[in-house]
Amino acid sequence: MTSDSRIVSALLSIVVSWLIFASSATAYLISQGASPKLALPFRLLCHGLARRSLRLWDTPMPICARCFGIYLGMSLGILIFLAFGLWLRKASPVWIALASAPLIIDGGTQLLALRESTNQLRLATGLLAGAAFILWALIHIELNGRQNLNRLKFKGLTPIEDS
Amino acid sequence: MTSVGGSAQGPQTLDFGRAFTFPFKDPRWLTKTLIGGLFVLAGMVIVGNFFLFGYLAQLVRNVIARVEHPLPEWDDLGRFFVEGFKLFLVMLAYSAPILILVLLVVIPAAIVSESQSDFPAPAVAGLICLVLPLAFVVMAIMPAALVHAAANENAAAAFELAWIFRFIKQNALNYLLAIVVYVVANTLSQVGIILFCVGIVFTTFLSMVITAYAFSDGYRMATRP
Repeated sequence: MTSDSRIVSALLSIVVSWLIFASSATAYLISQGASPKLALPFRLLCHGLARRSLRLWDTPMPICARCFGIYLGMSLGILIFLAFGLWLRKASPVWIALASAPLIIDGGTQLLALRESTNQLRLATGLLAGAAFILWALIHIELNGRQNLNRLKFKGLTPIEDS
Repeated sequence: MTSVGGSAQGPQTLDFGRAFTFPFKDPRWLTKTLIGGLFVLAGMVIVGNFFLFGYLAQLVRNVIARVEHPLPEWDDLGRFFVEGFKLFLVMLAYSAPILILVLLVVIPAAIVSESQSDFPAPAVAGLICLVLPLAFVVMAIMPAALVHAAANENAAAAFELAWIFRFIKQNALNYLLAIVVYVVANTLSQVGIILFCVGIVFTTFLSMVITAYAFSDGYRMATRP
């Protein structure tokens, strides 16, 4: 695996884990009587509508069920990449198109006010799309990194050897 | 040092429309934008921003060199990181006077407010009167400094203040247009939140590349007519 994909995996793991932890911790603190204003920073990333959010400790999470699903899916995707990255050689955009289709249909029909989705569906579609997207992106970065290494070797430069 | 001037055929004006459409003319724009969005998300950790700044620096050079599809590939992360880190230090250096001023006013104000019930009004007024104009000046100069540093692949170029002021003065119209592009792109990028929330990271990335294009195209017209 190249250092490029390892660094990006590590960075994204930190961000995604932090988002999952911070949103859960915020719900806990609000349930313990902290100001609901604690949830405000999450508005930069998500609408955070209470009826579209999962409830923890009987308090709505500051991010919606779909966003929570996406971040959870991304962390799952990073784990899959780290475990099976060497076997996943083709980063086909068809993957993300297929895996994102349920999210687009579910979210799109809701956006057009044709129907109202459920939190379970939001979570499931987010999970699938998040995992597929991060897998595709990391494989893409891995393949680009390998091409770059080959270019350096071709030029006679010796990069830090990757496993 | 790069010379500043206008075109021999007369002043060229920034192509406002092209700044907004250039990413989509690249056949690989979707892939580049999806990966770019991921780095915007990674930018929540400061280190993640270094990759983005390095990427934008390469974009600046590609625009100045009139590369047909100037959006770079995400294939040299090591180089993006190193250059982005240098540009981050430049930004930090430019922001230092504001940070120092805020600390000089806010810390004494906080100490005073410990003994009083309200935050002291003179401190707030002082903060607004001193910090806001300074922040405005710094924010106005910084894009020119960053583009100059990126174009020369030399972070020290960002501190050639005489050159930077002359560049802004002689290309005031294009520079103002680039600021308008920044404001419009940044405002439009907020629409990304309706694209299943996470869409905002991709629209933010697009607004960044559009802004970088506008400033670097203005720089190209001024330095390489």
